[in-house]
Amino acid sequence: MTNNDGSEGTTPGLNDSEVAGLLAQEAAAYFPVGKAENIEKMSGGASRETWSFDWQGADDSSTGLILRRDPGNTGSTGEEGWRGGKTTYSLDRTTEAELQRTVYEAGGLVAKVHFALPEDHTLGGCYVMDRIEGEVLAPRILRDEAYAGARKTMARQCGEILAGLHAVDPATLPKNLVQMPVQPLVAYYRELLDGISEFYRDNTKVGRPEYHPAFELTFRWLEQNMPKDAPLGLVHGDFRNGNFVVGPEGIRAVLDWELGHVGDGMEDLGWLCVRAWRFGQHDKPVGGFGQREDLFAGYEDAGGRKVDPKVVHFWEVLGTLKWGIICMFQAYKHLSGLIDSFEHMAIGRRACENEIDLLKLIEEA
Amino acid sequence: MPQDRASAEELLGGVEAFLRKDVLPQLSGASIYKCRVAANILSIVQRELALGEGADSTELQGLQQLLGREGEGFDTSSRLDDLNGELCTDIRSGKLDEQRDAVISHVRSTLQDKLAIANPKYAGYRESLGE
Repeated sequence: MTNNDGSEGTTPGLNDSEVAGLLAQEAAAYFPVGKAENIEKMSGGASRETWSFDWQGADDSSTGLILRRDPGNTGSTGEEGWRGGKTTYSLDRTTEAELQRTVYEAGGLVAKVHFALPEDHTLGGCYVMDRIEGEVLAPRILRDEAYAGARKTMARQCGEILAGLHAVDPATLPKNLVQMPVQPLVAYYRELLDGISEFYRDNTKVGRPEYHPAFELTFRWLEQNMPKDAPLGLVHGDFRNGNFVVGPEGIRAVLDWELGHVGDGMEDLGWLCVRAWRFGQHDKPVGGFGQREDLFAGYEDAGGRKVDPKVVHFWEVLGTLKWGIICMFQAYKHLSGLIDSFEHMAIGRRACENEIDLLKLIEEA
Repeated sequence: MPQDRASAEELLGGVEAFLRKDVLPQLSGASIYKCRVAANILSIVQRELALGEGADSTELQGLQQLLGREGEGFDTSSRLDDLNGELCTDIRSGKLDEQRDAVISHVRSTLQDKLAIANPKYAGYRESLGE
């Protein structure tokens, strides 16, 4: 999920020049004529790497491209579970590429995928797609004058994009996409919370479990307010500012499909309203840029099902709980020895920010 | 026997000021972020040294009142574990459904004390204080 730790983490596997060399070679095998130029590593974290390059084809034509890969050839699969250091049921790169292709073919606002390489390739599971120019950093999108116009339309536009996404024909989706309707999703985070607490009790010097009464109150509230009979379809799973490429006119593309799954589309609307994405713009509950009414109207006008604000509120509560448990998980990753990062350790102290917000959210309803 | 001055808080304050004033301006790239986090961690620990003990005893009193027993153990920390364990189990089973308001009020004040240490600038914390 969010990799805002600025870490430079050393990972086993290929060094940067080896990656660049292999990338040039694979691109040459895929594109009929031309060569790769301006190969550059854009961001490197412990979990995901992004590279940018240009393909110089015939007649001086140039195409901007992006490589998305797992460093260290870790080959993430859903089976590893949270104990393997995965926060969630994330997709491997091959399935993510397949999903992105499906959405592209259905007319979704997503970069076109050119080719993908399997998990056992020397480069690791990875894929190459079009580079969509624009701004990705959420604080800039929320504050810079250049995006003032975009901010006015983005809530409505998010509704429209999501309506299209949720309408993608389920028969066309990758076969191994996880089914995560509300109950298993809640159970997943229940297990994550309990697992971390038990680990602290049994495997650390402090030797005590970790108690979060506000999370318990939230789980109880979720149980009692669970939406029933929601239609199932494609859910992006991490639809929020930070995963949008934005231009002055609005959103140009939706990035990061690794948490895509089959579930209740209202999950995406609720997640977009979680406080963590507002970056201080608290009077704009939708991602720090807009109002719920505009999001819902955009969704319904673009053919989405009638939005029940109570159901979206349910998903905002679950989203805030998720984020709080992910804060615990970040600390756990260091304390369990999965990674070495004192910054992650400090994020554990931010779980309580979500807890105080949750008390307000479950009292409002 | 108490340690000599400087106190633990004073020592940490000195190191924090060194990180912010002397080290930070000389850094570039990802180290800037890491140095800020390091300085923030030192300020959290200073607040914990100043406020932690008081927060623990207030939390213990709140739990004792809510659950109607002292809690097992020889010190505050083990009694807190015992009572918080019961609180969580009882919320989960629905046993405390009838006392939801009292539970929420206790949990809120505990969280306020926690945030006064972890991040007193957090907007949701200021809001919960009615600001």
